[in-house]
Amino acid sequence: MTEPNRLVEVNDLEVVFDTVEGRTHAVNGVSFSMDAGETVGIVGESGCGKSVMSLAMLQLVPRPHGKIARGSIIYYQRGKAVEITKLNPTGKAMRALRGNEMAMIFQEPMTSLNPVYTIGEQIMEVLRLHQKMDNTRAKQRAIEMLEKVGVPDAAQRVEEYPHQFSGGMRQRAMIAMALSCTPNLLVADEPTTALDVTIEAQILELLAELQRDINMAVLFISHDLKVIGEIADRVIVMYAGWVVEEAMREDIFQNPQHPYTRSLLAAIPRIGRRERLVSIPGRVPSLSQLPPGCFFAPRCPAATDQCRREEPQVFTVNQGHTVKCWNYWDKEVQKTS
Amino acid sequence: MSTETLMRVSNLKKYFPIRKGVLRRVAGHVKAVDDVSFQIRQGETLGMVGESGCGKSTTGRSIIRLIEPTAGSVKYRTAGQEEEITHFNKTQMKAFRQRVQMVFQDPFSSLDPRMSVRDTVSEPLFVHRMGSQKERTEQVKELLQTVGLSVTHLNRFPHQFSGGQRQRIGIARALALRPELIICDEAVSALDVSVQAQILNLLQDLQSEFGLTYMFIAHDLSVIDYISDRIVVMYLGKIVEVATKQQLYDNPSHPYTEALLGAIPIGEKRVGEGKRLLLGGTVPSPANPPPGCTFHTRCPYAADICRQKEPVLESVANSGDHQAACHFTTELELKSFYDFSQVDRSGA
Ligand SMILES: Nc1ncnc2c1ncn2[C@@H]1O[C@H](COP(=O)(O)OP(=O)(O)OP(=O)(O)O)[C@@H](O)[C@H]1O
Ligand SMILES: Nc1ncnc2c1ncn2[C@@H]1O[C@H](COP(=O)(O)OP(=O)(O)O)[C@@H](O)[C@H]1O
Ligand code: SF4
Ligand code: SF4
Ligand SMILES: [Mg+2]
Ligand SMILES: [Mg+2]
Repeated sequence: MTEPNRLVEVNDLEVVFDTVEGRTHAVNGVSFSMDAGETVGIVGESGCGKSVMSLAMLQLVPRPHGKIARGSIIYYQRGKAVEITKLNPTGKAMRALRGNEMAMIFQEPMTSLNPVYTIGEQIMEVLRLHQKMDNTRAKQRAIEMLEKVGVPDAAQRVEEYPHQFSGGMRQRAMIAMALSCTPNLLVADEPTTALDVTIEAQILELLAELQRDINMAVLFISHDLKVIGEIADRVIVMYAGWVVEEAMREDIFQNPQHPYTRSLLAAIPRIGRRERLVSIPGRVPSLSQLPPGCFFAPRCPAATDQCRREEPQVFTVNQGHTVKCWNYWDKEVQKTS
Repeated sequence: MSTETLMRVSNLKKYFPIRKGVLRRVAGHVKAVDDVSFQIRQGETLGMVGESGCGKSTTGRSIIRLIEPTAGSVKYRTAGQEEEITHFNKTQMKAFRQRVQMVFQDPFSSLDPRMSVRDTVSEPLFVHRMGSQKERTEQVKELLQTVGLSVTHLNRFPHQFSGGQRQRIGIARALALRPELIICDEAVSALDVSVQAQILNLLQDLQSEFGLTYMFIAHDLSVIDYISDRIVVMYLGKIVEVATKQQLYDNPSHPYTEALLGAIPIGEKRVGEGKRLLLGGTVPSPANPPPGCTFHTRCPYAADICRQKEPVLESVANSGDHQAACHFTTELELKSFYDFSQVDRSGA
């Protein structure tokens, strides 16, 4: 039974890279779902698999080294289930989905903007290709989109090249391009990380506003829990390719259960608080040499022998709140059974 | 912390020439730092914030003459005497370099990839001819322990370390000459929060152990709040506000500071008055700064006078500790960080 509002389902997804150093397990059995119009945040340290996860959503995992080794992603296109992991990543069906239904924005806008074409040409290209608009209509729409994302003098700036835009403006142009086809799903990988706070605030506000306008779902990736807290309805915490905790935003912040989530929260400096920051010893393990048992065990203050031996199961804290940790089981589940 | 001034910077300017055409004629100047004055007090951490390109790094580099200032004075107190470092000759500069060190943002590019940890950390000792080779190796080992690295890492190269470990190597190198003042330029900005916490804690421990003074440059206001005693806010090459930490977050006196406080992500849904303050536009080019108050193109309170007359940095409400550069400091009732962070805890 699927929810009527369901937009995407990721089931037990594994993404690997085969390189000379061996196999990297970038995404390691991830499951989650998203409803239409919902904002889901993914948070975790560098190298936890966030970007690979977001690329997988659009079948953009770099080939030939990378591949989806297991699991599925199902996208509900007007209620009809499409298993996108079965589609050819470069085939017509996938390209059509990418243009009309889903879009992606990246941390570094220059990776998706082409320096030799004007901003306008690039937005128009998307519109011509996917919405079959003629030049005049496409140009008009490109200007509208730039105006919508707050690029001043859009009618003139549509003729400019990416290098003539500031970092914040390029980010806006990329958002305009991604949203020009009114996607149902936007995957945003650290879209504000490279920006200053005042510009970051502008972009977050803009995304929220556009989202209300077109009821778009957003998968928002960030290493910054405070930014995630500003924008997400639901939060997924990733560690070494696993989802270690998932909950509504309030639960992640007020009632975190996983030792990693707790450590992340304790490591953030908060204005007005004077206590010494809690740092997490060590670092994210190499995803090609993962430890046995729980991947967080080498850094976890609560690790037991069982943790070092057996992969933790996923336990339900309450509806919509899950945690992958033996300690939770010891404390809560065992006690009551 | 004493109130004794360790470094006194007055009317510092750094203009970079813009060259155009085949003859590379100077067509104008980027006013990266334009007439800034401030003091660093013995034993304090002076934070410096502002958006990218506002001149923080240029200020940090100019005050220790890693780049030559265009104009202005930098006085440094040595044995109770203030000395003008912009007049120092080579020998004097070398002695000064022992007292003042810098730690940089990017742990990846600030270390020489071909130099082992031993060579990286001992190089300043070698340059200043301190100790025999054997003594230097002993010192390096001690320094590595101080910053929490293993001595078994002595012969490793930078690429074999994580970002946080590389930043520790940079700090060990900066500590080698037992400096008094360390300028940290975005020293934790490129690190994950967990590693950032390690480095911030380490810097605080080192400060209490060795009585260090820090100038800490960062764009993250939460980090600045955590580490600083006093804070300097820069905008487009100028200082717009100087305050103690408490004053700045509770009682900002410049509209730009208010805007920065209003943009800090707090990790919770805001309600009512707590709504984020949105500043329009972007920072103008420092090659062509607006006339009058350079913030007037984005300031929600700008009036005619702001477009004509440049405000000067003046004491706020007779408090020598708190200064702001705005024509309307006394009239405006600016919001504090706490006003901006009213959140909805009802669970709705
Ligand atoms: N093209 C690739 N080839 C081989 N390995 C890769 C490739 N892209 C990513 N990886 C590996 O996959 C793992 C996860 O990387 P990913 O980029 O998803 O991390 P991330 O969580 O987005 O980190 P960050 O916060 O630094 O962006 C890492 O171990 C990385 O080295
Ligand atoms: N070597 C240089 N040549 C020309 N312009 C420079 C140079 N270094 C910095 N600038 C310019 O000076 C201004 C201030 O830069 P910087 O001090 O690096 O700012 P911040 O550290 O606050 O981000 C910017 O406009 C920058 O482009
Ligand atoms: S399973 Fe064990 S090691 Fe892993 S997070 Fe939980 S307590 Fe820590
Ligand atoms: S002087 Fe005028 S423009 Fe400048 S900050 Fe004050 S009110 Fe705003
Ligand atoms: Mg990434
Ligand atoms: Mg800088």
